[in-house]
Amino acid sequence: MKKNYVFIPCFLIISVVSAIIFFITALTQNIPLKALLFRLATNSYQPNYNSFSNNNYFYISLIMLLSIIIVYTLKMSVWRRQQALDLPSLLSGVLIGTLLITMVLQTIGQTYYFTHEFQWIDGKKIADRYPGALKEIVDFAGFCKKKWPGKHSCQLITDLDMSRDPGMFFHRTLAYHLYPIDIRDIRRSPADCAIVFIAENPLSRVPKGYDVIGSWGKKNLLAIKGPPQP
Amino acid sequence: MTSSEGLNLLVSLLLPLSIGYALVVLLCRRLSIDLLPSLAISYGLGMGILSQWMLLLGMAQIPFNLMTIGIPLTLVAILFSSLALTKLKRNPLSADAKPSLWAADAGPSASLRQPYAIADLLMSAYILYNVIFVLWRSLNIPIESWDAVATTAFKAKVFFFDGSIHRLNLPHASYPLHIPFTEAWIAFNLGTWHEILVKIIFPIAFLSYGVLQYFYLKSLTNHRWALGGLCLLISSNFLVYHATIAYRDLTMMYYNCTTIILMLLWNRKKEDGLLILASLFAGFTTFVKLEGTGYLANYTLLLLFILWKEKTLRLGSKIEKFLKFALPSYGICLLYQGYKFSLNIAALHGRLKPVINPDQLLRVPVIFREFASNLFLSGNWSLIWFLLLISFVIHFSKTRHQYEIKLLSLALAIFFGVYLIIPIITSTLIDHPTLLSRVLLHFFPITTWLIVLLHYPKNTF
Repeated sequence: MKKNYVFIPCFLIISVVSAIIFFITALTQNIPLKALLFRLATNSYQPNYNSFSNNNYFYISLIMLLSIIIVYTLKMSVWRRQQALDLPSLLSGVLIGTLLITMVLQTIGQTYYFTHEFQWIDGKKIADRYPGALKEIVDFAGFCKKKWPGKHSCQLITDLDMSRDPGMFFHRTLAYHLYPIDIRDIRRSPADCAIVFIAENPLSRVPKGYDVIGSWGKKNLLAIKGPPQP
Repeated sequence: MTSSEGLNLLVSLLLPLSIGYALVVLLCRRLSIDLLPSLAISYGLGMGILSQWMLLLGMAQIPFNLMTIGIPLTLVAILFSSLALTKLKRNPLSADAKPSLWAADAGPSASLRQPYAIADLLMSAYILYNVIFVLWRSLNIPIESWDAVATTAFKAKVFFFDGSIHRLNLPHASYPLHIPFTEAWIAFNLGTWHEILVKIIFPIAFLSYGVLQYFYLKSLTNHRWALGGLCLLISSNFLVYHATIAYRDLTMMYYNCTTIILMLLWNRKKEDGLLILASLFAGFTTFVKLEGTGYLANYTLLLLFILWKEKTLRLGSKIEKFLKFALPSYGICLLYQGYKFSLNIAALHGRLKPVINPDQLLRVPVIFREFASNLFLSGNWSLIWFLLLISFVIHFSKTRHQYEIKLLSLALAIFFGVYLIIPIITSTLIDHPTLLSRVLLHFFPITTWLIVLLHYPKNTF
């Protein structure tokens, strides 16, 4: 057997092992084959996760390890005298084969992700390209900057628990989108406005000496010190 | 993107690029340098110089604007370019007569057999698809990720609107400022804060690194194996995803891995300009993330190992080479650390406080479990760590580039050693949802270089 063809038995073994694991998974977890195939394809692109509870890599690793064991056993018994089928080449064949399967699955998953985002964006303005909760914050920040343009320092009044997520993230997102209105005391200058953000009964939370210049929704408003500016 | 935005964006990138390119030409004048990989180095170099200049302006409380940043840098670009041209004219060797920076040392590369041309095509298509994905996503999704809105992009916005670093009265004051400065620079050129276009620096770092890795591997193998190395690299979901969001880790990977590539190239070519370039990159790495300061110690160890193994140099030459690396890199690192010290800001953000307690040993199994599940089962790295492990077992003694592999293995071991030891002796979080993946990303490409070099046939001539 030519050395170039060493990959053929490897691919065959990987295919058989993959098929067996696929059917066992479908049977033991009682998942229809079509649904399992869909999950396999769409779950393979999940960046930014450390856990393996919700992706396919456990199965892929299992396929790879089982294929290595089978190839090794065959080499030690049936293929012992086949010099072209040396162990390093066989093992490389299994590795490359499994990697190719992984890359195909990832690319399908990535395309699914890509298409989903592409359709979601579909001509939207930048301010509309944020997921639900963030969009509310971006819109509120835009509203404040429109009502009270320029550089200002504001005190923030909120019911959010800013020591943990999601309150912490909402606070950072608001601060980022509000800038140059400063709610993180970067400029160390006295506040000339107050922002009531995600607070029950916001009107009652406005500090004395401040006048409301705009409300946004039921829980947010912007107030400034002294009389409203034209 | 409008045409004027596009033009401004181009100008904002061209200035640092031209400074970087002129410096590369100046420092590698005895070598013939190809345009594409040199541009890939120039990008990081130019952006690094830009951010150091902005730091100096900030320290001197000179307000940031297009003039204060741009005019001195334009003068620097002109100066470096004239010096580079003068040096080139004085050099009697023509470009063809000079040895190429990227040429293989071990003889001609393996010939590319035709039956595998389809493999080249498929690999190129896979790479192209991922490049399109990165460009599209990074230039269509606005800044929305945690660290970006909380620190990096927020600081960039502060610098842009206020023209000041406020004596580091900033969230996470200790964090280095390379990314905020470069984002602010883009915004100054655009004339406005653009939620998407300031992210241009991330896909460019991704492309630059890809080009550099391709040429590095090609110099040791051939076009096909170098393409394979790129495919291995971008098979990591995590890396590709990070090229599209405004986190610092991909840029950190670019600077970190470029430093190592330049050190290894210096070791092969013996051109000290490469060592100085590596040193500058090492210094700039310390200004991207706090971890960079630790990595500087790693590079120093690697350099000491190379110098120790180098039998042709005298002690005096070895000391001279060590200083050529240490002075620029440690100088850049100390500039920011010194400034923070003068403002009484903690050097490492209060992290890495040693915890001397026997209970810390109870963390060891947890640390190993976290590493194992992250490396092998997370979905972030494809099968790359598995591949590396098995490649070591089956190919280690049969490779052509034994010394290069030893150096790379040493570099990988140092990085791993640091990240295994730190959680044991400190209370650093180990089960944070993405922290471990992000630090692994900084040196992840070394695994792909090693896999390629371990598998590259010994007798392919």
